Amino acid sequence: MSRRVKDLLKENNRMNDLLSEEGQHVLTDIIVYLRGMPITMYQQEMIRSDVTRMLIDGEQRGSSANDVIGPDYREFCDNIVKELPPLSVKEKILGHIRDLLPAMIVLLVIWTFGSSVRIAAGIFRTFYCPVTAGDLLSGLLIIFAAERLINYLCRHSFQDSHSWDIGFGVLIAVTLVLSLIVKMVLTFKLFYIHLALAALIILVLFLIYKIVDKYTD
Amino acid sequence: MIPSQMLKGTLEGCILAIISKNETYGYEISKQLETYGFGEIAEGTIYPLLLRLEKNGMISAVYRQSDFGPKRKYYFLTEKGRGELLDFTENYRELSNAVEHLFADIMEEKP
Repeated sequence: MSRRVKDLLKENNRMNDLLSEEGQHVLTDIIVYLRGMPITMYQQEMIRSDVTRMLIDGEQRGSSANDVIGPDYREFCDNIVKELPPLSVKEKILGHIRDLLPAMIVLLVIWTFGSSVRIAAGIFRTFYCPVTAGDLLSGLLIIFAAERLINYLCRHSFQDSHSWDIGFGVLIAVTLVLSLIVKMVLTFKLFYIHLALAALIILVLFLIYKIVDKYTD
Repeated sequence: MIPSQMLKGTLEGCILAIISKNETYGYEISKQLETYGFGEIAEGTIYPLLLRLEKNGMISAVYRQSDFGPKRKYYFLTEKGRGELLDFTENYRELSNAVEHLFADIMEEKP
C-alpha cells in the first residue's frame, strides 16, 4: 500500500485503542463492511479515521455508537460510499490484480511444494513437473470460493453469525469439494514446467504484487 | 418531528448555514440543528452530507486539537459554499413564499 495509506493505517490503529470494547466492536464491523465496497484503501482509512474520531468524541460525552451513528450501521456505510467518487477503470484493474496476486502466489507455492515432495518420493523423475487441467481448474475454483467467501463476510459484517445463509455455506463447501475432485480426476497434462522456473514465477509475481500494492491507494 | 423526506432537500443548505456562522464539527452541527427545532439528527446522518459538501468544494476541513483524545475535524465554508448558501437561501424563500401563499388561499376558501 502507498505511504499515505500506511501512515493513516498506523494512526488509525493507534486511535482504535482509545475506544471502548463496544466502540471497537462496532468500528470493526464498519471497517469489514467497507473492505468489501468498491472504494480505495485510502478512502476506507479516511472514513475509518473520521468515524473513530466521532466515536471517541461520543464516548467522552457518554454516548454509545448507536447514539453517534444511528441505529442502522449498514445504511450509514452505504450513504458514505454513495458520496465517494467512483473508482476509475485503472483503479479497479489494479485493485483486482493486487487482490488476486497473493492467492495465485499461495497456490503456486503449494503446487511447487507438492511437486518437490513428489520428486523427493521418486514419483517425478525429473525437475520438469506436469501441470494438469485439474491443477488449473482446481486453482480457479479455490480462488473463486475464497473471493466469494470474503465478499459475503464483508457484506454481512453487521449480521449475527447465527443468521448467515446456509445455502451460501453449502455453495462454498461444494465448490471446495469440487476443486479436490477435479484435481484428482482431470489428470490430463497441459504442459511441463521446471521447478526452478516455477520458483522464479513465484518471485516475479511477488515483485509485481509489491509494486502494484505500493502504487495503489 | 419533521419527516426525513421533508428534511432531505433542505438539510444540506441548513448545514451550510450553520457552518457559515463559525468553523465547526459534526456533533456541534447536529446539536445546533436540534436547537433550531430540526429534532434529533444523529451525527451519522450529518457525516455523509459533510462528505458530499466537501467533495463538491462547498466546505473544507482542518484538524484541530480537542480537549480530549485525538484531533477533531472542523469544517469551514469556502467561497463556493458561500455562493451555494446564497442560492439556497433565495430558493428556499421563494419556496416558502409559494407554500405560504397556497396555504393562505386554502384557509380563505374554507367555510
